[in-house]
Amino acid sequence: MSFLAAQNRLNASVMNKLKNCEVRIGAFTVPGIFMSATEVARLGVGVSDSQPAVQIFSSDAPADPDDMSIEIDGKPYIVGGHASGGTGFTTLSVELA
Amino acid sequence: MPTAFASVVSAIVSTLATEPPVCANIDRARTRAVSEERDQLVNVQWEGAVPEQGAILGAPIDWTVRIAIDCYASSTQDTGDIAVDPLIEAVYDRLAADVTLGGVAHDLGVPAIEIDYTSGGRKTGWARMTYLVQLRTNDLKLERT
Repeated sequence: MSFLAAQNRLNASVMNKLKNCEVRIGAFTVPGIFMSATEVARLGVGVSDSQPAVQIFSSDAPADPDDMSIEIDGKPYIVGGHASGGTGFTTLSVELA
Repeated sequence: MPTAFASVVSAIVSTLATEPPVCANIDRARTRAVSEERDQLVNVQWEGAVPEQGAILGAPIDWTVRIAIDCYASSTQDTGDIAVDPLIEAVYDRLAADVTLGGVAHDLGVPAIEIDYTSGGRKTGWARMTYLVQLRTNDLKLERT
């Protein structure tokens, strides 16, 4: 099996196990792994805020998703940034809309 | 008796909290992060005082007291600078109405303002208004006289 094939098989398994939301991007609905840990930003004495993000297959991610409006389980968000792990998953950092 | 410096902070907090308060959350010398549940917060603290000493021992001492007023505002709709803008204006206008803070200081002056931003689930703006407050102490004491 090629590395790419093995990677795709592993990613499919990960998504199958860890998927916890549906992400609507434009006309498409794709599976996602949503997380929203609280972090303290270094601003003054510090500001606590959630850092919502959703992982989707890189093949499902638009070419330039920044500032795009999406829905995660029906809740609207704006994509603030994105990062690809280089192994088939893309993380979209989102903001409440 | 509180020092003149603590008295200035008390006077500012009291002025900002007078109905209608400039913000629902007004703290002094806050050291903990602003919680996610609060959309706005104002923190007042003094950060230092520099004396101008007279030549005669026992003469009144004029101080320049550095007072920092931090304004925090978060929004899901507006960028951080827009979110915090009305709070900056409200604090400025409220304090400009009486630059002696009811006689506690000689002059509040006009603040230097710096600003920074962050984004998480919401967009947050933080502005620091730094006042150089002029006041005088007497009799070799730090109390307000």
